[in-house]
Amino acid sequence: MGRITVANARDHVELANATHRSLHCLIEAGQEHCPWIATMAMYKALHVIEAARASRGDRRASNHSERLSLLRTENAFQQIYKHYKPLYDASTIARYLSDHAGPGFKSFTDYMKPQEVLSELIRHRLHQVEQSAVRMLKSQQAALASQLLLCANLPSKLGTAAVSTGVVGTSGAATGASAPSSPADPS
Amino acid sequence: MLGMAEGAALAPQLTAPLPLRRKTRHFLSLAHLPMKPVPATAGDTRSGNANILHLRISREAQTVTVHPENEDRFSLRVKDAIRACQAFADAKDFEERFRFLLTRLGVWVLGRKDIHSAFVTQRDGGFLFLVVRKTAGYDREFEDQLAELDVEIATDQDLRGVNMATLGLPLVSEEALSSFLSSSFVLSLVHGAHNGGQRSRSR
Repeated sequence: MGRITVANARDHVELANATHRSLHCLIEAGQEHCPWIATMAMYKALHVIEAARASRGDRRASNHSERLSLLRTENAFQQIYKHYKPLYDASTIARYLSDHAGPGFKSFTDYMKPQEVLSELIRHRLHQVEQSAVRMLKSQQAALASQLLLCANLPSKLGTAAVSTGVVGTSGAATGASAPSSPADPS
Repeated sequence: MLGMAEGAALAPQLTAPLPLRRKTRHFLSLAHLPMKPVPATAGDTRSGNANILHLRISREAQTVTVHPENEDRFSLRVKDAIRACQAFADAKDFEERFRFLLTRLGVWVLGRKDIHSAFVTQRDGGFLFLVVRKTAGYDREFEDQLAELDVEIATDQDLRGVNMATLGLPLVSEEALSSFLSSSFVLSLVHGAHNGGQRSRSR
């Protein structure tokens, strides 16, 4: 029987925070990046969830499908699942669906208006995942929970920064961008 | 795709009810799939599609039924599903649960007015319940209810071992939809009552 590998919760918190910073940059960069904002939001949620699972000693999910299955069948994670799933679905639509000759949906903007990406995916869905996961982390590793960057610190509006070079700036010069996130107050 | 006459010739008349477990009592006759072919309808282009097998769902009084358009093809698809999932050593047990799953999904589809089409297909070693809504925009209530269904099915003891994910899509063309459907296993759930719910499909 093989040894069960337990992923490191700290690694997942660091990955979640790195994703958070990228998400911050994309929000500052503006609405043309909404599909990838949705995708980054899903990946941040993924690492937050895996951090919570790892803190409990749960086996790391090896792929998206397995993770979804674990979340929907484990009582402790079903509430998280209900908010993670719309994130996952939105990121799937963002990455794989384009239908310019179609009868309704043509591009991701038809599915979700830019500001809705922030209000629904970040401020609601990701926020709910974070809140639940932080509660789990706090009960297992309180110090680690305090290091997780929270989406409440992300810009509340999409920026208008030009991205002519393809390199996204991080200066916070974009309209409506808030200051770069700082470690979240777990309270 | 088999035509009506061919389907009628092949469809066996099975009358024995499937064994029912706890929750099936809510549906009582739901797990008894009437084994009769569904005739093709005017304007139905289903004959152009060799991969999708249509299941017609309908409600009469308190009963919801799911009609495979061709029972032989449906049985073959169930065997495909067993091979795909590799989770059940007992094919009969799997078939019973799979039919129950289809009925659960059929009840859910019938209870909604915002669904354009619904499919059961194969993905990542399990099933995917793919629902296409009538509109292009995100709908929070729909997403919440689909996630609820997802959890209910995943935790239903009558469906234990059946690995199924769900995905809601906005209204898209069949071409765009096809990339989400398995090339080898697709069941389409269509409204059986009134052809207004019937949707012609081709891939």
